[in-house]
Amino acid sequence: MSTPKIIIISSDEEKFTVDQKVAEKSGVLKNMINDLNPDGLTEDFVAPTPNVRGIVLSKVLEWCEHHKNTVFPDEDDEDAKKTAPIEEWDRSFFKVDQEMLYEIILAANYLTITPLRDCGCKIVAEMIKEKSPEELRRIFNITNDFSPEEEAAIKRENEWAEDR
Amino acid sequence: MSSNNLPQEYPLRNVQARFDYKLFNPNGKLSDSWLQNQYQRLSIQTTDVPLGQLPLAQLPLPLPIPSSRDSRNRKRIRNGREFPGEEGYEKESTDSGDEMLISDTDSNSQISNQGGFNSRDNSLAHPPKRRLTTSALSDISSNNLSFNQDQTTIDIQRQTNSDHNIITTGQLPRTPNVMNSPSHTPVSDFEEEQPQQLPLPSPSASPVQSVDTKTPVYDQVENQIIRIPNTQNEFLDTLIKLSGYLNERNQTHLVYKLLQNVNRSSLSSLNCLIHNSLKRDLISNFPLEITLQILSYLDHKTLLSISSVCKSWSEIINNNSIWIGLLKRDKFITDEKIIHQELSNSKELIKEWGSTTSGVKINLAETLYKKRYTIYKRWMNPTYQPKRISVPVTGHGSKVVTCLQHDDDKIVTGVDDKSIIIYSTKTGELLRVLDGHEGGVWALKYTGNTLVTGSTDRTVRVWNIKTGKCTHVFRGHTSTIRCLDIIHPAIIGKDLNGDDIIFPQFPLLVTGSRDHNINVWKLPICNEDEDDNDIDENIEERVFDSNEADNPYLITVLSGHTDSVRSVSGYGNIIISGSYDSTVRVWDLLNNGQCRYVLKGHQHKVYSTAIDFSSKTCFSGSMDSNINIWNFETGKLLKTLEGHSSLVGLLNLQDGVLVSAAADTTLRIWDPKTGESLTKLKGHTGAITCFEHDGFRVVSGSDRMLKLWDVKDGKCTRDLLTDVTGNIWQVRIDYKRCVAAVQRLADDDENETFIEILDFSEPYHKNNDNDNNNNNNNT
Repeated sequence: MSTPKIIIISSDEEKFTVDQKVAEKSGVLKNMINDLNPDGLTEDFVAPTPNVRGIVLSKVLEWCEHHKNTVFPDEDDEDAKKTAPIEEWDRSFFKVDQEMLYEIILAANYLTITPLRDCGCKIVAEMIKEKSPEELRRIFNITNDFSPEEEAAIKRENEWAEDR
Repeated sequence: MSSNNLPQEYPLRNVQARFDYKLFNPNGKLSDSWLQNQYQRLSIQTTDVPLGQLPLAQLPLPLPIPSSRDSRNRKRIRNGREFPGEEGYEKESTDSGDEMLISDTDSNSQISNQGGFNSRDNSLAHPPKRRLTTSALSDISSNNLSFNQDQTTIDIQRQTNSDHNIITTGQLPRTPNVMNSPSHTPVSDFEEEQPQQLPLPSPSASPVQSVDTKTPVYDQVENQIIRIPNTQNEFLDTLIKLSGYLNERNQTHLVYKLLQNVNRSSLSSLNCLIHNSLKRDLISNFPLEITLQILSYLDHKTLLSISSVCKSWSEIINNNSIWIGLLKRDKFITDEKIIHQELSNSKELIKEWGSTTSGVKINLAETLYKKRYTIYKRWMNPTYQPKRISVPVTGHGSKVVTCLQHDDDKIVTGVDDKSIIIYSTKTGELLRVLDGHEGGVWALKYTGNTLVTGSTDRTVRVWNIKTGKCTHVFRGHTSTIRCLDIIHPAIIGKDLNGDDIIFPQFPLLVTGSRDHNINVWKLPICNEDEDDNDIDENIEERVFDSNEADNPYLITVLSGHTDSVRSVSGYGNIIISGSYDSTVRVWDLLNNGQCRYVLKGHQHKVYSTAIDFSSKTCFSGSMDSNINIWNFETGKLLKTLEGHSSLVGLLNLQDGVLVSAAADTTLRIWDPKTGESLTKLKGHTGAITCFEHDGFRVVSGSDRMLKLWDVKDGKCTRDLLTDVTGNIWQVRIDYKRCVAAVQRLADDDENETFIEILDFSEPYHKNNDNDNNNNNNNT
């Protein structure tokens, strides 16, 4: 008999069949699988993920597949997590539009795939890093709702951070 | 063009459809919801709908509708279409039942004028379903009709929050954010019918028909197809309308099919459009914990930039946890306790460092960050002049200050002429002179109000700083006490139950002497309570000799070194000692103070030691110019750091940075983990006599020079004092002050010893006014 697989079903009812190891990159799925099969899997396991669209789920699973053997820094080691650079593969993995980036991070959060969530957050941070308010408005399509007076006041208040 | 060339021009032509744009349920019935079409158009602009609003959108419409019509219409619709059993379709059709109901109402109002709509609502006098009030309705109906519908939609979805929202949301532009899913959006098809009627007044589009009979979906489709379009525009119009009868997913498939026939340059233009329309507010749309995680990767400048983007972003940045995280990450304050202590004094913090602009609120932790950052920048700015206080060391002639420790209130100095002198840190005022030792004081340390000193008179004295009284005299050493350390209770590991093991139980005093021995004492902590001053006053100093069998303070004597003990460093149960016998010894207090290892490797006297308990390593600097890194658990020599060319007299490990100072006029910065030499601080002209560092900056003293260095690049930032004419005996720093004992010319042109206090913490407001004279403070 072949090894049992995990079948993950997206919100739009797309079915994805993956190895247990790949699915267990997700903390939620891992707990679900292990709680319902305390003696190990004997047959295919179906796990619906009603919050994740098929195309997003396919991206997320692509990541899980790629990283199925990756050992990530300790969950509790905040410093190691913070300073770990973004891998080249992950960087190109995240070359997606903002909507997809948004949905991948939400999906990683919902499925508790912490390293994927961390990486996505770092990608967003890099988009923001060292940008001026004007640039940020352009990048994220934000309307400036400050009055010119308010804006001037904020600028004055933030002067301490300027290099003199 | 032959089809072979097509893929070149039409890159999507042979691409397989997948997931949400592949054909879905091809045998499904036509969808009667035209609005999907409308929705598709809108949804491009309104992509940022929080998922949480979806369920609300499914609420049944609480419009006041006569119940008879209600049931009749429902029935008709149910009859008018067959219900396919497919999953997902059922839900959609039920929902569209609701849509039909509304559209009926709307069609009704369409015949009547606006006033009619209004009066109808009033005259119906139906008890409002849900909480949509009639007054709200009249508000709505006073606007134009197509607007009404959106308002109603919004209102219904928001009324869970407040009915008052109705009026304000009524002013919203006509891109309802809440329209998330076409199948759930209770918007009528009325507004779409309008344009349909205008160009082609066909029977099917006449008001009468639309009121009385809701044309079943197939009739509608038929109507659309029957009309033969004459122009490009009409043809497109028909196509677009027809596509509205597809369900949502197949509409996407249709778009995909169309895209397959689009050439590269058109795809590119569409790509730009799509790309821009997918921009998203990636700061405020996420759940807060994700937003905070993103922000935790950013520096203060970017955070301030974010706060200037818009009001909602500004609100997000106004969060203590972000700035507390940054204070820790940038190592301004690593101890959470100190952060909270500083934040608790909010009044003073705001007064000295808070916002200067009315109306701009800065967060308290941000203010604290601003304070620490500004002070740090002042250190590093060579043109910034700190507030300076100079105090001559009392007595005559130039005295050697052998040791110095300070905090926010006091500076405690040991002098080679037997006295211990305490100054006020804030004013420089002489607070106390502690007399008692009969020889020069060469080692000193205090914790709280308990001060311990070691002297050439072979005694250790314990003092209460507050009362100025010596409370204990420890005898036992037979020669000068040259070094001492206090070991505080610390977590040294976990027991079998996983509970913390804390050792020692009470603070210990470790004294190293020229008599080759190290004595370990229980440190008698002076009472911190002011009320007990009187009691303390009356306590006469008591003498305890280590030779007495019942000495209550002596814990153990560590013997083994064969020459002077020059340096001791302790943590938890481990004591590291460096000796002129050129060995380093590891002592384990858990094991009765047994000598665990004699670390041999240095060729000469050991002058300095440091311990890093967490990595089980210790460091030693020697006259052989080397620094050794040892594992005190295994006794192994891990690394020998070479580079200095003479005696390494001083070592200091702080925040993961190891700094060494040598008689070769240089200091070096090392990575204590790898032993890598990071930078060499070059600029002094004589042996380094003293230094201190805090992970950011190094302050070092040698003949006539007191220099500040940047740990990052090893560059000399500035000379902190330029009028020193002799030695710099001691220097200590904290985040805002530098305290040094230096020799310089006094009024009588003789070298005299001074305590110099440099304070970089002048309140921001004062300084800011000085810096920016054009700041219209006087106007």
